Amino acid sequence: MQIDFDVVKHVAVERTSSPRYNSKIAGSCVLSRLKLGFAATGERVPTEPFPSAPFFKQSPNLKFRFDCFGWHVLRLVAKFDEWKMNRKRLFQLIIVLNLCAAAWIVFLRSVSPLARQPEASDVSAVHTLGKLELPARPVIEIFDKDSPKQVEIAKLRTLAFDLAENALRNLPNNPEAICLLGKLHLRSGNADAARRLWDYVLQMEPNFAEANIDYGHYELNLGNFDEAAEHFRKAIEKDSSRIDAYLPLAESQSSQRNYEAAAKNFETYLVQNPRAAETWCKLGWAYQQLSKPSEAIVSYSKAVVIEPASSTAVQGLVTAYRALGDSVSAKQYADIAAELAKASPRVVEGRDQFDPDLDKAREVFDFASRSTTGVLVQANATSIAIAQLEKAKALLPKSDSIRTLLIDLYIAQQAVENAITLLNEQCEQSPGDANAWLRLGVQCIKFRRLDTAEAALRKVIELEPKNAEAYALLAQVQLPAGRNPQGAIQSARIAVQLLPTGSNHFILGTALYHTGDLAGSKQEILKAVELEPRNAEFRAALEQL
Amino acid sequence: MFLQKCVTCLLIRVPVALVFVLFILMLGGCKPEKGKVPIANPNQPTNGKEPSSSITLVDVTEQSQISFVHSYDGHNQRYIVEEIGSGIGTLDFDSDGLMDVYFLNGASIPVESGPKTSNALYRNLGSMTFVEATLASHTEDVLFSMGVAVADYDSDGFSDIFVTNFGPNCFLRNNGDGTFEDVSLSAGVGGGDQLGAGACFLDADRDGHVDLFVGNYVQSPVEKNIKRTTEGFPSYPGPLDFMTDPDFLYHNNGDGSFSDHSAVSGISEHSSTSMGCIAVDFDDDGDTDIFVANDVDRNFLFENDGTGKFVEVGIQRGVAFSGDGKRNGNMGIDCADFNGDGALDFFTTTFSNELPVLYKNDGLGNFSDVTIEFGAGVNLLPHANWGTAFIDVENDGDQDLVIANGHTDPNVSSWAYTTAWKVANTMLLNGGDGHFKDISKTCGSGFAPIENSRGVATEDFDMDGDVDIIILNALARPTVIRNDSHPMHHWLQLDLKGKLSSRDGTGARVTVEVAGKKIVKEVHSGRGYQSSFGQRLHFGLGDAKSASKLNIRWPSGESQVLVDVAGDQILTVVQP
Repeated sequence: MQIDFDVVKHVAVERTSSPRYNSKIAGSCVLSRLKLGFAATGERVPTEPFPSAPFFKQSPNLKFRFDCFGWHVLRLVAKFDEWKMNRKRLFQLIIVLNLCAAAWIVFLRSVSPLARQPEASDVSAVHTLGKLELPARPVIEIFDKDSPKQVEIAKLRTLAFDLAENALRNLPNNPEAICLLGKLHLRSGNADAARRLWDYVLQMEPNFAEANIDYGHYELNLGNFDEAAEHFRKAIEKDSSRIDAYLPLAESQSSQRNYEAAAKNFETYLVQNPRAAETWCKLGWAYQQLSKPSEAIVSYSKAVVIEPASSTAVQGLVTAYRALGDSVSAKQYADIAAELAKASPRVVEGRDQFDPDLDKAREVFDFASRSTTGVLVQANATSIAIAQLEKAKALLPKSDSIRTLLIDLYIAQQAVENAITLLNEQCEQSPGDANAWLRLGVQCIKFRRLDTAEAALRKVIELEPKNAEAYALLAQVQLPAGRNPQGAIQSARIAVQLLPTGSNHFILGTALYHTGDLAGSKQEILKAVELEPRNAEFRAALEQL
Repeated sequence: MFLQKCVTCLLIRVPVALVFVLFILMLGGCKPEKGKVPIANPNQPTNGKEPSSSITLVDVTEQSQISFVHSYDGHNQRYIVEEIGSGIGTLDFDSDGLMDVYFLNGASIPVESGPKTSNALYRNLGSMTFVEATLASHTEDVLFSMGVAVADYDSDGFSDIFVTNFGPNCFLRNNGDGTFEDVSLSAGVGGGDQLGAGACFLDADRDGHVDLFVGNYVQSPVEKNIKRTTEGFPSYPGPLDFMTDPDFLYHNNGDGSFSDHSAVSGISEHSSTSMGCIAVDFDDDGDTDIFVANDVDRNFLFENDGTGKFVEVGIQRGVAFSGDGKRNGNMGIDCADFNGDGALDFFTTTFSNELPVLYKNDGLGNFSDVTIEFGAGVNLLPHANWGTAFIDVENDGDQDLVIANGHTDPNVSSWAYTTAWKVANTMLLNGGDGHFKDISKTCGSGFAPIENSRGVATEDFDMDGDVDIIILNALARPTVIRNDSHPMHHWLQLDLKGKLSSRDGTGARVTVEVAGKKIVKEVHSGRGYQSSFGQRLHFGLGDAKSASKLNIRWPSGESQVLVDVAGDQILTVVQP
């Protein structure tokens, strides 16, 4: 009886699709509002310097298309002399060149709103918009060139704009890309540019909610609560799934003293985000203003359960109990608030090492890179996303966010070698990051680099001695012939002890089978089937035994 | 043949040339515009337009002859000290009945590194004109000055000036002949090398002598300066970058000297980034308490037990945070009964992206944030606010609000769209029911200037029966505003002279009954943003020609009642 125990392959695939693994990928590369689509088939990065015409004609990258076209024209000209031209060839060439010229004009006119002129005959929404010029970037100066932090801030800001503008060039009229560029301009203080971009989006895609949300935040920060509320309301009308619009809408309404509506919208937001302690406090405040202290107490109490040290919530309870006439409880919570205040002394040591501006610049850059990657991947332009990120990585080689995004894209593109290189780099830079080692282990298994995988997994176990996943993977690495089957049994047993899942029992059963313990193997696989009776692979293995 | 060659050549070259010409044109079309689009000032006033309300506040800076220019120079090091100065003090230093003005000035850091600058005393000549009297009065103080408090500490009938500095503080005793003498050392209130902030006098232990509370901001602001940027632009460090410095309470020994009671009074048990402060009997129990506005921290409310010992009750009383529980960047503080319920309420100014906070007193000394409910500066969310003063601008018996605005960072417009370094100031009119309306753009030229303002002082400088305003502007001349409102309302001003209580009436509480309404005020010696003004109490009587009753509760405990007091006069009331 022979059983196909290609466990390495099986578990590698299984691990990459396990909920924990996926959540880590998702957590590291997807902002909920960006809808990253890793299932989409992306383009390959061209390996030739200038690929054939059909390729470059399909490429949405303007600069790349131009480079390719120019190269082909030059090649034609070079061939001109070689041909010892006869009349027939000459006319062929002229026709080709004329076609090229016509194609070039059509091509330039079609690529972007940046270069388009409106025509009277154009009837589509886009055509009536006129020309959208990229707003001028803010001046990004380095005031102290000897300061590495300032240099990095300038690089990050420049790169964020590069990413957003390149995404827009590659995906003309993509509303998300335009909104992102608007956000960057607003963040740089250029509200006019931001407004122009959002207006463009609202004209082009009247049902695109993001522009209204952006506009709403803009008005909210200016204290224009009526206008802000109107934008958030419109966003929700356009896309009722945009729960993120309910919170600022409620805040705007609260500032307009429309506490009834505010409370309702805070509640809507909290249905989807029940752990948002700050929002519970805001709901409590709204109830307080509605002279509903009992409801306020419930809201503040929920916030306290989530964040026991929330001075906002405790202070809210003081006010609410006072409004209820319960001075004993009010005093009790006032004492707690005073204790909380004392318990959070000001820490000044190390402030000179802390640079909030650099942190903010990194955050903005992260947001820009994630957003543009999301937009490009969604538009099946993964290769462009990769090329952009690779360029950014060359400029900011130590950026965690770029590396993480690249790893995810490489994995999605099955470029395992590249992913492993970056994972190695990540592990070197963050040797205490067990997740990085685990990912390295998984990718090495995929690539059959079992020694490297084993070393990575042992590192995970060293960092997290109770990581069942690492033991299960280690067992599979040890299992193949000529490695360490006894070690595999030991590792698998620990995995089962730590996490007795069907999968781990199956691995242990497999390891036992390889060492000739058929009875033990059958027992473990039986447990696996009991735990996951619908797993066809477990059942097949059991039948074969 | 030649022709054929030419045609051939043209046929080849024209399309190619056409292609490149078109390409160049298209590139030109794609070129982004150069330069940044200027952002309109978000609070642009209506310059030159006639006021549409009955309130007329006129900018008379030019004719006031005040040439003082606030200045400082941190030599591009961007010290936090530069951001926060300075306040204004008012006093009648020459006893001519007219309120004079003392402007605090910045300095170079260190002081020796630049030209000498000093604070400036301006003698009031009447009709809103002033003349500088700094040198003659010996009121020069060349250090970087922050806050000022004015009181008659030695009960000799003349107002003295206490100044907090970056460095040793300065105490100027009024000699009564138009000159002052620096008694910082002999009085024992020079402090050390702190960065001082607001200060206020109060009779903490009700012994008849005014004691002195001195707020301190942060420790070692120059030695431990941290270079910061915002969006890549050089900016300033924040208060959280430094250790806090405890405040001082000096007990007046009655012999011209003070003793440090910071510890025994319980004041130094708490330490934060003090900015403005005010001494007030918030719980109406007869003793004077202290409210300290703290920057990016909870406010302190020191409750007096009646003997000069204090317990900090900011959280318990509801003034530590804004209503939504935020630790605001609190700057200035003033108090008044804004809603006519007989209890004194507080108003704090705050940093940008925070609303100023109106704390309503429930009559038992517990407060709640009613800023939005009463519209107390809800349009100020984007801007940083500093000086503030409750004044009855049209003598109708309710309390209006003046607020001085301006960001801390001159580069702010390079990265923020919501505010600017220079922002027009704000005038909020009380509708009589406590609800405020912003009349800044319609009340005349006084609120048109766009400056970076800090301290505010309000007095009836021209003695015409309405309250005028002077606002200190950082790195600029002050704005002098004459109140030309003529709503035909009556008024009453009170100069209190204590006997058992402090000579200048500091801490006295006056309740004026007029037309069935009660107006409550206290004599403060230090208020607003690191400023001192309004010791001569001003009451708007509305249409009533007299106040039916005046009840004065002196800090020593005695009450004095006057009935049927005629309006439209400055009345001096001496404690019996």
